[in-house]
Amino acid sequence: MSEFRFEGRVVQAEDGETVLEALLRSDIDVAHGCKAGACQSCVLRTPSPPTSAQAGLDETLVEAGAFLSCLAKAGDVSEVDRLDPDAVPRYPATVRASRRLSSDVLLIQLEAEGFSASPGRFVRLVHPSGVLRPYSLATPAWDSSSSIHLHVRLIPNGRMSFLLERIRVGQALEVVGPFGKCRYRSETRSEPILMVGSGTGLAPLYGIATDALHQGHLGPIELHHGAATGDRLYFRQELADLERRFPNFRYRPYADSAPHNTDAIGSPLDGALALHPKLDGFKVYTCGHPDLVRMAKRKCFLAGANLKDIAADAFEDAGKS
Amino acid sequence: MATLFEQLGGTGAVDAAVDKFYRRVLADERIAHFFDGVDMERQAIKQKAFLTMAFGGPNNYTFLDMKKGHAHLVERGLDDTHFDAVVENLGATLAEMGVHEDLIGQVAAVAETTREAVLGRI
Repeated sequence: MSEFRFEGRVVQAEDGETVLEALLRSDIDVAHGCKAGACQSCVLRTPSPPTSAQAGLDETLVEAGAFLSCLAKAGDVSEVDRLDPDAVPRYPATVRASRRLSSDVLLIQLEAEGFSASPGRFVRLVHPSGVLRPYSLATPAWDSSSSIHLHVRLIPNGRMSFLLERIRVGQALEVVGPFGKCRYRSETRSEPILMVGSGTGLAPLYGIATDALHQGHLGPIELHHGAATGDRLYFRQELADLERRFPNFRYRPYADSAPHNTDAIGSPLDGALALHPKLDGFKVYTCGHPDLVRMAKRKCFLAGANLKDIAADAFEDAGKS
Repeated sequence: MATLFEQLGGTGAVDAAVDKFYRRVLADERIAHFFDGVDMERQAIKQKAFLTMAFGGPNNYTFLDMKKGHAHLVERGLDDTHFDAVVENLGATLAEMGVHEDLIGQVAAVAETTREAVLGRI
């Protein structure tokens, strides 16, 4: 026999029972499915969960102490709670700068004391009026960790767009997070990295590229970025600077129409796959419009990339390529 | 006497097989359309659970789970030919991994036990 507390209530467990079994036997209603660690519906939280019960969980959940109650033995836990969706860090942030990157993209730079996250993950930006939106971290890796760069796509009649277009330096906002697992991760530093994105999907890709380069990644890094028209392909100068500083970094722009002189016409995904029909051993990052990201995940996987080596973030408002 | 799961290499073999198997399934025009629009990470977790079961490993899936889990696909026309295609891809994956024919046969036999449930006939 052992016991643990669930939301403050003492639960008795029999020898060898899992946390989930003990809860269900005690008539405590907990969401569950396969009871074998596959479906992830029985996620709960405990201060120091057994890592064997965290297999396959999202990084943010792992950091929040989440574990699969069907895999953890009751004897290995003492305090268990349901996962509080609000149990994520919040930081007061101040606007330091803001400038247009293109007709529909705004760069916002914030300072948030105590904040730290890998570029490419995302935060929720909260305006004092209560309006909030998720944005990916485009912060260059060499900036201080409390600095936050966001690429904001301005959407006609969008509430947050309206507010951020008029934002002043010094304005107080709130940042919640970070979330997501789209970030630089490399075991050997020598594997090739392929990045495919559209619109403001460039934000996390740029952040991740700087992180990889800053950490001394040795393999080639290719960033294929698409937008509807050539003048919406923003950040050209910054990406050209990156190419100059790091010989293993390549930027390839694509426009659906009205390309500028060196832009390819068409989809960044098709362009990337034409250059690299075989992706065995590649790390793939794909961010931007959901249709592009869905296709990119599938096609890159079929081209040989391992599923665990494909990191993706889709956002409805990224802008089509 | 080692179990089928042990002979295949246990969870390591499942991990090694998941991407290969899922890639074959997605590339197979007979069945790929059933996977349109599904979340690939979630699907890979399900593939892993399926492979663990087919490899004779620990699992708690019941016939009822399998019936429920595939009911929406049966509505879309999932039938014996599709089930056969999946088993064929499973065999090809194991062959690619260098698994002996005898063991492949045993895995196919385990997968076969789920046919009636998956196709909603029990």
